[in-house]
Amino acid sequence: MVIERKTGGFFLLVGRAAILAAIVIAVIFSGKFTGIMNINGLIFVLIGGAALALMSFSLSDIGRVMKGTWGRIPSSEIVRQSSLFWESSARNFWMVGVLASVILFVLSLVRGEGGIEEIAARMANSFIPTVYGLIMAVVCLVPALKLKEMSLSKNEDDITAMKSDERGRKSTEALKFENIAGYVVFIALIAWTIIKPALSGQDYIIKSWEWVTHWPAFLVVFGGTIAIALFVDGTMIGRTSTLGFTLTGLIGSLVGFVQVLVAFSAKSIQDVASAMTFILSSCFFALLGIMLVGAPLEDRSVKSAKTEKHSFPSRVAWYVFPLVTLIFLAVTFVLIITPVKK
Amino acid sequence: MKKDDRGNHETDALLKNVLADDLPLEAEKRMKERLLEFREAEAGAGRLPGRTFQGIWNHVFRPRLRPRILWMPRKAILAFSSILMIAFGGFLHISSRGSALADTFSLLNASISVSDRLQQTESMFCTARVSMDRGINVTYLIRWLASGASRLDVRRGGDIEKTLWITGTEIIIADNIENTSKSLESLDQIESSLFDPIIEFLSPERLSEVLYYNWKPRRAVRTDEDGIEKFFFENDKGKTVLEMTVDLKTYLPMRITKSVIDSGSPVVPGKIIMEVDFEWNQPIPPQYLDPAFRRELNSYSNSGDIILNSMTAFLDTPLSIKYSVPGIKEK
Repeated sequence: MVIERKTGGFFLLVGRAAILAAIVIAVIFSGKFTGIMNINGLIFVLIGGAALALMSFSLSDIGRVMKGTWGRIPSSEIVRQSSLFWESSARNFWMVGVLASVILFVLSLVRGEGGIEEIAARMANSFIPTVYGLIMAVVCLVPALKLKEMSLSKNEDDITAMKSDERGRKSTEALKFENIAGYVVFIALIAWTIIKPALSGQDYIIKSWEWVTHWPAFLVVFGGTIAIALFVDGTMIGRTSTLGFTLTGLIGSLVGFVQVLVAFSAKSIQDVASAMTFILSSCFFALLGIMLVGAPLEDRSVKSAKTEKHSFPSRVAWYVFPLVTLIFLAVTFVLIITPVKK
Repeated sequence: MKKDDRGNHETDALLKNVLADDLPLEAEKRMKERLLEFREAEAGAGRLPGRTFQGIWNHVFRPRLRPRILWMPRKAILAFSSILMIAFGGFLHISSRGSALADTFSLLNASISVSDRLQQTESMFCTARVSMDRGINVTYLIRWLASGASRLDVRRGGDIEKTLWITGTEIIIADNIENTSKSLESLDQIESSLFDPIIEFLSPERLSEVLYYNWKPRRAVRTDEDGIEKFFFENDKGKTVLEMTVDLKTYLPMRITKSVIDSGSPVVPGKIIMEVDFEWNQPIPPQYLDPAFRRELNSYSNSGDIILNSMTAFLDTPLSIKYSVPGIKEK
């Protein structure tokens, strides 16, 4: 049984996209919203989100998803794949937005131009990429929810067809060229964002990559994840890595937060600063691990029908941990600009 | 039952056990992978295997290899390494006092704290020594009270050349050598460039604003003394480095040194061009900041020299051992 949907027509879709693009361009050139514009952050979010999508889905998968979303839908399996793609994209944009904020926050802190007022303004501006990521996540979540609703209304014939599809798909898919390209683009994007300021001759207080090589946080997060993966010792590597990175990132952050509270009561700003560095670095490495290892593995596992859907703990980790990171980032900002009272 | 029948039953049972379809998960998975590879090989028969990019790619990333690649190191070694990583990471974090980023955090927070504390002071006594052109040294003495009154004495050699009073309502600049004085409406009307080096130190509010808006934080250096830290700033024109020694108990500057930037490095101080020492919240008699004291001086020209010499002696004596004035709150 073929599920057909009344489409709005190709030209109607193009028209809607053109109107939306015109509104966005008018807003940008009006100059009214320059206070909430961050072009570097927007580029980071868009490229990062696209790269993460490529890590989990091949170009042929994406082509099928686009057809399934806006054209004739030949089978409920395509509906399932499309729903998976859009949900994964929503998750990716949300996480990339928060990661962009973390990186730009630290870069604005260490950039030497301007006085304290300008540095504080730049730090506040670095939260804007999270807004962009959230907007893109909502844009991707809309088709995901609609497709999920459609996939729930399949009939018995479709169930039979889906099961035979599943049997055929339970083999592990090899990594394709575009998957590897996704990894390369994402890693290059992060490396370029961090290294470029030092190469461009801009004035920086410290080298921008010095904060990335914060070994205590790196060792704790990755060591803890390996330990959890070995302890669980299951076949669901994607799910295990996601939870491992999330838990170790959370533990590192909370340990650092307790240190902040103790140091704050002792009015020792150096200890507060050291603890905040540990928190930010733990969150950074944990987010990076989830995006590079956990999420793509779990996506591929669901795509090849080895697992039926994303696990609930993984979903919680993907949506809640970046929010926790954002909260810690805001706390860091407040602690920096709040003068010490003696 | 016949013997043959029993044997057939046994054989039947044995075959059923051997050919049972309830295979273990791992075995089933491996069989399916082998079957898939066989089918792919059959489908690709006739093409040159491994000679196309896709062929090489599929061979390198074939599914059968991946579990072995991932789990090649023994689990025990991985487990030991992971525990070692966690322990070492925790030890590094606890034992180190900070990182480059942590130092930047504390530099910014300390700068903001200093800027904030400057706005809450009650009085300021500031002595600045400036190296002018042709080897001439000028000393500036600034007294400031929270009421807004301040006094600046400019001394070159042994004489107080000029005096500037700022009250809430007027600005008076007096030339002590020519014995003249005039009123101004704003500091922009000062014609003499003698006051230029010291303008930003005229009051704590000015110093706080300059620190917050114009000076770029560069680095923090912990000294051997407890509770004292040095901060380096660069001014917005990029020509001078300011080294500020801060008392971390009060977050007020004790000394500021201004140097020209040496070639190449913005944080290596070169030749010192200004040194400013501060005392905070010390008692200053309000009448000392009153311009009427200067006018009174003019009317007694014969005894003026004696009064001027006494005033010079007064300025040279540290405030802390000078006197206590009734009615002035001691801090």
